[in-house]
Amino acid sequence: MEKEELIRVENVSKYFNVPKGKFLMFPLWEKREVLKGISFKIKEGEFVGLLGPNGSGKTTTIKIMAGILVPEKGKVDVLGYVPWKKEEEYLKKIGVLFGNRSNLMFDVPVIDSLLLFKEIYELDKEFFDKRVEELARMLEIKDILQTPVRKLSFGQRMRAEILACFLHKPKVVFLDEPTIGLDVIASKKVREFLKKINRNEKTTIILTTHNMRDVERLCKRTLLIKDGKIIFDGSTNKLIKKLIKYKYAKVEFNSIRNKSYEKKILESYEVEKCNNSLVGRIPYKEQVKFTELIFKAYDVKAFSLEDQSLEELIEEVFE
Amino acid sequence: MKYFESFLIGVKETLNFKLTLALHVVSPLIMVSLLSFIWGNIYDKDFLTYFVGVSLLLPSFTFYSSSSTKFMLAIRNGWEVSFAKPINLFLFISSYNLGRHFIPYLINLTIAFSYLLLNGVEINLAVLGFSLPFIVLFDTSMAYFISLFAHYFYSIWGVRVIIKLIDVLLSGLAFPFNLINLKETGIYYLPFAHKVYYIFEASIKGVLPVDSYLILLAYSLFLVLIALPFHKLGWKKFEAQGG
Repeated sequence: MEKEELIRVENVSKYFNVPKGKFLMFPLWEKREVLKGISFKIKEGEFVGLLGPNGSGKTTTIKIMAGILVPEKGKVDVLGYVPWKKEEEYLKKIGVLFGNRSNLMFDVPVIDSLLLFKEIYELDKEFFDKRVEELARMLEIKDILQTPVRKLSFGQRMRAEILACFLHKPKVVFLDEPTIGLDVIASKKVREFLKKINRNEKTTIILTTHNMRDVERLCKRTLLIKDGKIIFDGSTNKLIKKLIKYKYAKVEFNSIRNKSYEKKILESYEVEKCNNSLVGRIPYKEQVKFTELIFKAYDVKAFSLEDQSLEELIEEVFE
Repeated sequence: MKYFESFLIGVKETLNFKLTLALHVVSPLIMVSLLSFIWGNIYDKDFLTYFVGVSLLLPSFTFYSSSSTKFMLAIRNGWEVSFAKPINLFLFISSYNLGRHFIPYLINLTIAFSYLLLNGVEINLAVLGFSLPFIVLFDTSMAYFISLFAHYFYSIWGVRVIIKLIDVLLSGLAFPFNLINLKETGIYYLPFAHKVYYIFEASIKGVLPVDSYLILLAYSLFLVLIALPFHKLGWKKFEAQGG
C-alpha cells in the first residue's frame, strides 16, 4: 500500500536581512535569498537526512516546517496544517529538537521539565508514566531523571532532550544536529534510539547533521541542500556511492612484520610513512583490502579510517 | 494547568537556590531601611511604616522587569526556536516568573504584615488579596509591551531601564507619596501609583480601590492593544538564522 505523504514543500523561498556595510554609524542591510524555491515531499515513516554545508539553508527549512519561520513564497503542508499558523493541534503532533538549544529547564531535575511537558501536551498520567519509563530505559537515563539539568554531562543532557522531544509520541519530528558535540558512545546510543523509534512507532523523522555516520546509519533518503537549492534528493546509498571517494587512514605500529606487504602498501596507496606511523588517504572501495594489508605488514598499535568531511564531499561533487 | 505547572517550576527553581532566595528577601529590606532613613532625615519624620507598606506588601518590584527580560532574550536569541510547543511562550514565561517571585513575596509579606501589626497599622488582607491580580495583570501587560522592542532593536536594555526607572519614581516606591498631591502633579492619571501607593492606602482603610482597578485595567488593555500588532508583525519577520 502506498504510504501517505505527510509533508509537502512546494517552491518555498525565504529571505533574510544581512548586513552589507555601514553608512556613517548606520548599518546597511540587504536581502539575501536563503531558500530558492525548494520543493520536496516526505511520506509517513520516512527517515530523511537534510545535508548541506553551513549556511546552505537546511536549518531554515526545518524551522519553516516546524512553524517557527514564515516563508516569503511557496506552500508548506505538514500533516494537513500550515505550520506557521501554529495551531495547537499541529504543535501537539510534532517534536522539535535543536542540538545547541535546550528545551529543558536548566535548574530543576529533568523529571520536573517532563512534568511541565506532560501538562503542555495534555498527556494522561498513565501514558506519561509508561512513556517516561520506556524512553528512559531506551536512552539509558533512568538514573538521571531526578538530577538537575545543569549537573548533567552533555551526553546525558542531550539524551534527556531527546526523551522530552519524543515524550508525547509525535508523528513528525524535526531534529537539527542532535549528535552535535557528542562522543562516539553517546552518538551511537542516540542513533540506536532514533532507529528503534522510527521503526517501532513509524515516526517520520527529518534530520539535519554534519555527521555522515548519522546519515549512513539512519536515513534511507537524503536531501542535499547547497546555497538554498536542493541539489540531490534520493537514496542515501546512492548519494554515498556518488560522493565518497576516499577514507583517511592513520596507523601507528610497534614494528614491521612483513617488508614486502609494507612495500606494496607504500607503492599502491597515497600514504606517507614517518617513524612508526603511516598517514594518507585510500580509495573508499579499497578499505577492506588496505586494512588486511596493514595488519599483515605491521604489528599495529592503533588504526583508524575516517570519512571525508561532508564539506569536502560536497565540494567534490561540484568539481 | 500548563501555566500552573510553569508557575510550579518557578517556585521549585527558587527553592533550589537558597542564597538567591535570601537575596530576594533581603534586598527589599535594605531598600526599605535606606529610603526611610533618607526621607526620615529630610523631613524629620518616621517613614518606615510607609516604605514597609509599599515595598514589602506589594509584589511589584522585579516581576515585569524579569518577565520582559526573559521574553526579550527569547525573541533576540531565538529561544522560541526550541519552544515550538502548544503553549503561549509569553504566558509561560510570565507564569514561571510569577512562581519565581512567589516565595520571596510570601516571606516579605509576612515580615511587612507582622511589622505593621506590631506598630498598630492594620492591613485588610481581603482588599490586598483582591488587588494583587490587578497588579500582576498590569505588570504582565507592561512586560509584553516592553518585550516588543526586541523584534525591532538589537539592544533593548535602555527601554527596559527607562520604564523601570519611571515605574519606581512614579509608583511611590522611592518618594513618600503621602506628602504629595498626586492629582495636581498628574501622577494620579498614570498607572504606576495605582499598583503600589493607592493599593497600600486602600489596604489600610479597608476599602476596595475601584478607581485604581479601573485605571490599571485600562492601561493594561491599552498596552496589550499597542503591543499585539507589533508582536504579530515581529514574529512574521522573525529571523532566527542558523541552528
